[in-house]
Amino acid sequence: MVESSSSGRIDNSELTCWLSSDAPEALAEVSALCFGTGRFLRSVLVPALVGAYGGNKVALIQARGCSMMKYMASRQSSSTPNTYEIDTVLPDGTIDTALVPCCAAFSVGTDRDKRAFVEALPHMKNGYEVAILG
Amino acid sequence: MKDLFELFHLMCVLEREGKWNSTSNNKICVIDMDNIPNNGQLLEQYMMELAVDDEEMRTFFRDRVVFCDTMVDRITSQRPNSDGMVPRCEPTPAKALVICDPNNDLPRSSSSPEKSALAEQKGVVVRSSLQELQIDIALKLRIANGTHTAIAHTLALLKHTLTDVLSQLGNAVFMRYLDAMAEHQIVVACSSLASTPEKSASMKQLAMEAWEDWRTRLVHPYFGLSSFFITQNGTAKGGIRWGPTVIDLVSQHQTSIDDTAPLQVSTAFAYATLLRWLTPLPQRDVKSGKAGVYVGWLDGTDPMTLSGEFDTNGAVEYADGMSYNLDQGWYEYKCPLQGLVTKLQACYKKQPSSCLPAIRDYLTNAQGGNLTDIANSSELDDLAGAISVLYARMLAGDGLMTLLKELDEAKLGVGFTSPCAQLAERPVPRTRPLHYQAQSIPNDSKLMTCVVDIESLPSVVTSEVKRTMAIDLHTHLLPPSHGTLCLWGIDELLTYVRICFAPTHFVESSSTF
Repeated sequence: MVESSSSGRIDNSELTCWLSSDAPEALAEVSALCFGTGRFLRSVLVPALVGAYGGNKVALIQARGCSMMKYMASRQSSSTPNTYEIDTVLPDGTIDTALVPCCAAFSVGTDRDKRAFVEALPHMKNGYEVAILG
Repeated sequence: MKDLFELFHLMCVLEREGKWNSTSNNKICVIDMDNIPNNGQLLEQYMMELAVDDEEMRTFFRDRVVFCDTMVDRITSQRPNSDGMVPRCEPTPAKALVICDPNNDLPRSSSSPEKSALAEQKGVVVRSSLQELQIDIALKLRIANGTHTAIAHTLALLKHTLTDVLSQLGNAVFMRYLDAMAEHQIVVACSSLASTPEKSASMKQLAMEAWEDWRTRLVHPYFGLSSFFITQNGTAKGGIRWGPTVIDLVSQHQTSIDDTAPLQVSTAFAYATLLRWLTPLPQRDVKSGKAGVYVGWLDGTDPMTLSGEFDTNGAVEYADGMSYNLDQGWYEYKCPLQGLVTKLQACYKKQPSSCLPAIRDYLTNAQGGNLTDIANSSELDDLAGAISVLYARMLAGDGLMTLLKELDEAKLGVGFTSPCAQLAERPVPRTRPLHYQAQSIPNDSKLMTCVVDIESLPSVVTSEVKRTMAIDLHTHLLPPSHGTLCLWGIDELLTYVRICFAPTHFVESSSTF
C-alpha cells in the first residue's frame, strides 16, 4: 500500500512517495517523468517542462535517497504547496524566487519506495510523451 | 543507469501486459541532462548494452524510445541553509538547454504545431540537426569553458576566491585580457567550424555573440564561482578547451596568404599561468603528502618559506581532498602527469630556455596540451617560447598583476594581441644575421637576478645581444653642410668605411678624411 502525503501531517518514517493530490486522477495527467532530482535538472529542465506541458504533469523520481519527496511533503504546510523553489540571482543583487509546480515525487532508492513507484506507474494512464533524465 | 534501465523495462512490461496504455503514438523522448557531448548517443549505447540478451527491450528501445543529444548550460549552486534542496542560479542563459530533435519527435506546440512545445520555453533551443548542436557545443567549449579556464588559475593564484571580482572596475585588466583572447584568438579560430569557407564570416559572428553572452555572465557582480574549484583538472582542460583553438589558428595560418602570426601573447599567458599553477613547491619532495596531490605557492608568497609541515588551521577545502590557505600562501592541486610536475619543479628560478623542455612536454602530451598535430611547426615553437618567458618570470617572482599590467599597457611594445614571436627567445641559426629585437623583459624583472646556467647561456646571450642597439655611423653620408666631412665621388665610395663605436672614438682608416 502506498503511504503518501499530500497534507501537512508528515510522518517521514512512513513516507514512500509524495503526491500533490490524493485524487486518483492526479497521476493520470502526468506526461513527463524526471529520473533524477538534482538541482541542475530542477532549475533547467523542469521549469521548461512545466511551461510546455503544465505543472501538474511533471513527476520526479529520485534514484538514491528520498530527500526530494520529504522536501515536497514539508512544503505542504507552506503558503505555496505542491511547488519547490528556485532562486535566481539578478545582476542588481536581488534574488528572484520562482515556484515550480510538480505533481509527484518518488524514490527508487529502497525496495519499499520502489514498490510505491511501481504501483503508481500504471495510474499514469495518459502515458508518457516525454521522459526526462537528470 | 541500471535504475533507468529498470524503469524502461517496467514501461515495456506494462505496455505488453496492457496495464499501461499510451494514448499517444509519440515516442518516449529522453532528454539527457549530463554535461557531456553526445550524451544521448552514449546513453542509448549503454541501454542497448544492458539489453544485449533481451530482444524485447532492444525492440522497445528501437521502436519506442528516442535518446536526444543535448547541451546544458546554467551555473547552479544552492541556497545557503537549504540542505541542498533549493537551487541558486544565475539568470537563465540563452542556451540553457539545447536539444537535438532531427525527426521532430518532441511533442508539438499546440499553438504552433510546426515546432515543439519545449522550443517556446525560455532558455531552450531545439536543433534540427546534429551538426547544429555540435556547433553549439564547440562554441561553448572554446568560448565559455576556454575563457573560464584562462582566468581561473590567475584569480586563484592572486587569492581572488570568487570570480565575481571580474565585475569590479578596479580589476578591469582581467576582462581586457580575456577580451583579447576571446576576440582575437578564440572567435577567429571558430571560423573553422563553418561547413564551407563562405560561411566563415557568419560563424565568426555567431562566435562573437556567444562570447558577448558569456561575458555578461562572467561579470555578474553577485554570482561568482569558486576560482579554486574551476582550476580542477587543469592539466586536461588546457588541451580540451584551448587545443582546438590553437590548432585551428595554426591551420588557418598555414593555408592562408595572410602572413600575420596566428598565436598571440594572451594565449601564451593562459598556458603560462596554468603551468605556474601546476608547479609544485621547489624544495619539497613531489611524492610526499596525499597520493596524487601536490602543493603550490600563491602569488606573492616566497615558496622557500613553505618548507615545513603545513598548519591546516585556516585551510579551506575547495574540492575533494584539496585545500588552500590564503594566509600561509599555499594550495593543493592534482595533476595526472607526475613526470611533468617533476620537470616543472626543476624550472624554479631558471631562464626561459631551460623551461622549454617541460613546456613542450606539456603542450604535446595527449593528456595535457594535446598539440601533437602541430608539434613540429614554427608556430608551436613561438608559442612555447612566449610561454617560457612568461612562465620563467612567474617562477622568478614577477607578480601576476605586474605581468598583466605590462601586457595590458604594452609597456615594452608587447601586449595581449602581440604575436608570440615578439616575446619568444628563439635561437638564431648561425647562417642568419642577428636582427635587433626590442627588449620584452624589463630590467627590473626578477628574472634578471636568476642564475644563468651553462645550458641557458646561449639563449640568454643571444637575447641580450639582440636587444642591444648598435649605431653604425658612416661619415661619408654627411651633407655638404659638414664641410670636408662630406665625402663623395667614386674614390670615396671605394675607400674603407669608418665605424664609430663611441661619440669620441673613431677608427682610423687609410682614406683621407
